[in-house]
Amino acid sequence: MAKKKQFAGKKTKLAELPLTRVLEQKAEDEAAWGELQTSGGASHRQLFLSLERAPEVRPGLLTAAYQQIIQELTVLQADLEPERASSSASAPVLLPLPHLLQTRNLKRALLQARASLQDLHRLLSD
Amino acid sequence: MSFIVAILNQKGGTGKTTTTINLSAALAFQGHRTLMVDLDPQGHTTIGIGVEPASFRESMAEVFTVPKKNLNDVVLPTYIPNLFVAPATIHLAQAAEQVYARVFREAILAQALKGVDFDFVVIDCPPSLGVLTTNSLYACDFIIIPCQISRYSLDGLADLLTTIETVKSLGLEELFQGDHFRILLTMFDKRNRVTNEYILEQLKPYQDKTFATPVMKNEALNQAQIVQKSIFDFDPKSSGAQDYYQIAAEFLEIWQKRNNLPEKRPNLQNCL
Repeated sequence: MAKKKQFAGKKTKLAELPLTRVLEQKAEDEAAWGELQTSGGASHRQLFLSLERAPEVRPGLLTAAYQQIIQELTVLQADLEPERASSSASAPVLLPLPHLLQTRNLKRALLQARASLQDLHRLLSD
Repeated sequence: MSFIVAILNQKGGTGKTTTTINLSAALAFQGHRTLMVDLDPQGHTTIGIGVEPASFRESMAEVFTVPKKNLNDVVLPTYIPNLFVAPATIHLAQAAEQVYARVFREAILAQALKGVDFDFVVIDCPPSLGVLTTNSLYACDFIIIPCQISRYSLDGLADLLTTIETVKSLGLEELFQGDHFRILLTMFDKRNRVTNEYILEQLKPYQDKTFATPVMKNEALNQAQIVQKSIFDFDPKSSGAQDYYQIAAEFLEIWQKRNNLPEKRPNLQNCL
């Protein structure tokens, strides 16, 4: 077997370091942001994410978190406007660029967002 | 106030001492008062700059023992104007052993360096993650990690980054967003194409944290050790001299940014 082929899948300790993953995600975010800028899709430092687009922008923890928020919003929208729910399941939602959020604050932010949505839902349902 | 740089990698033979001597020499040739702190009990920085162990009685070992010696009292001039060395001998290993029983043992060097007045302090660390290395990490403003193109070097780099994060009490975001370290690729051999490709791919996330100039494998760098001179004195036309010239320029740009100084490309022609 060619020497180079034997390297496939061989990962170093460095590749598994949390810092490496953070740096990789940062690079991916910047690439996604660059793509949006060149396509003229965004005029300020915000990124259009929808439930459909999130996985294509970047897999991983932050995207999963955004998906969760968008899902909550979509469910809420469906409850409030059942007639629109079937036609526009997930309108684009403006969200900050993922790397602007600090990972350590993410869980807390998610829990707060979820609690706020539930409160809102409850209020509107009353 | 001095800008303190630790040249650090717990792996041996990565080019820490060569980098300490030649980066410090370049800074000194540029007119910056520079102190090399030899924190490796092997004392190779001391010997490498032409200071013979028989020529001094007190060294970094005395700075780490009780009653401690003032660091200024062990500093020696070198043959290069503006370049000084706080020398080390094998006694530093014994002093480090005794340090383990002391409180605030990781802050001994930081305290000692408060009393010195140089533009730059460059610390040559031992090839371990022991108390001498944690002292350097605790004291320094910036870290240079010489790293060979090898699998084991990358694994070592991972351990080192984890240690830096812990000792400097930095979160992941702070570690990559702040300008705390640079990786320096050493002994780079263009002929090892397949290995180079693999290692550089692994280092890709750290591209912004790596010196743009690698130190190419160069026999003149080894020969300069034998004659106990900096590469700029031994063979200024060598690729080793050119590489360290570029690295010193990159380093000075980082330093200018860190200190909000006007950005200008340093003129290091007097090194060559």
